Amino acid sequence: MLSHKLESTVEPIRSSSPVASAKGKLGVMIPGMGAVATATTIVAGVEAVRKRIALPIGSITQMGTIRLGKRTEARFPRISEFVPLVELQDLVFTGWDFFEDDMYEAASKAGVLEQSLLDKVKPCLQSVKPLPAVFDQHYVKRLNGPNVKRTRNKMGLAQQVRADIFDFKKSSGADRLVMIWCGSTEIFLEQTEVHESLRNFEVGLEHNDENISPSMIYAYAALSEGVPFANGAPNLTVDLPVMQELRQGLQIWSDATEERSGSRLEGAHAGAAGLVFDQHPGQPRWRSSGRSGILPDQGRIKALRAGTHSSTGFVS
Amino acid sequence: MLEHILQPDLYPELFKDFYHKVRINYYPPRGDNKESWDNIDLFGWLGYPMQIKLNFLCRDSILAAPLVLDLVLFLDFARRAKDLQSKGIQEWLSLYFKSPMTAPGLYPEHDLFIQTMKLKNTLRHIMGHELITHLGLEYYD
Repeated sequence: MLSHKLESTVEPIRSSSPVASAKGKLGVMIPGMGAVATATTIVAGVEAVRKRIALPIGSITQMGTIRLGKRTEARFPRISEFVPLVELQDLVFTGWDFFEDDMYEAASKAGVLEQSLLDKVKPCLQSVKPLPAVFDQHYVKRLNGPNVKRTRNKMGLAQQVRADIFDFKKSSGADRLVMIWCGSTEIFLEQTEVHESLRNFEVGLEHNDENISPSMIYAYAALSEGVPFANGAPNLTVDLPVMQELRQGLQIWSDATEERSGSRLEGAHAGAAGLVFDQHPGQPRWRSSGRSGILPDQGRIKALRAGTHSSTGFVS
Repeated sequence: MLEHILQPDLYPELFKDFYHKVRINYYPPRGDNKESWDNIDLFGWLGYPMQIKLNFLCRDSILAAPLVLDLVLFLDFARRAKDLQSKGIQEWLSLYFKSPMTAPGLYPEHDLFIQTMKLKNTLRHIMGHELITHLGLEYYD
């Protein structure tokens, strides 16, 4: 039996907690959930850890410690005991992919994890079936597949993703959601006029502007629904004024770019961004992005949010 | 990104002419497993040349999975933390990113030790604990 729990050495700090409770389920939504092996490796890994057949090595939240107080005090609680993080038991996954394989099939084909391990977590993996993806071969030349969204234009695609978010939250019973892009790296794009404001971006969505990539459509949908978004690939996605503007009224947090991993050593180019936000409609604070330099247009956001059926269910 | 790591403006004698060459080959027989040969030509005291050679046999998804898991959990944490949800850019998670976003006008910190300290001190700060600066003079009082 593997176990990596330590005795808790953390005393309660304050009665009025600085962090809201982590109770409830966290829904993890992954664009690119099968074709790239990362997503299946995460889900299979989380399930293996839950079943205590493997350790989450490499994860700071699961195995990392944090020193508190002086060196003479010898207090090194696990980070997971020090800050309220959601438990692995409470993670639920979904994702989009242009293949129809469920995560078990996808992981078996990917060949990253041994079949014997995959078989031990088979029911969990089989339960995650890909939603049809926003996909356009223009942005990832070597790939193609059948499980793709088809609709009138990119705005239609964005609305479908928003509907997916809404439906997943409902069907999974998740209290909160996070989206993280794990798809293939898209072609190199530069910031253009269409990215400079929400207004331009939405016009661009309606007119299928080719500077709007699938990853941007996912980010736009997530942020519009109040779902934190992070980017695990180096494509231009959230490091854009439009995404900064979307956080408005809401608070947005952003962080950038391809996770560090082996590709760093391979020298892959960095340049993407990940961005997160939270929505607190009552909070007036706004951080200028320094790019758009524009104060947010509350009315416009409200109009946007009212414009799709899924918008109102997500105010956290 | 290398500009921010090497800071040639601060150290022109060292990095003004740095040269970076990357070549990536797709090699299907290895599947998800990768192999890198890194060579770093550097020079030390009095300009005498040295080399570091690194041969890393790694697994893409195995490296990426824990980072994605941590990001998912920390993003969810950040949205629940009063002092983080209002801060805009979450630079404290820069440890996880190659090219972290920062507040306008700032350059990103790429030093892994600084990034790790930033992450842990942010957690201490949020939880109302004393920051650890590693000053440590008090041990010698």
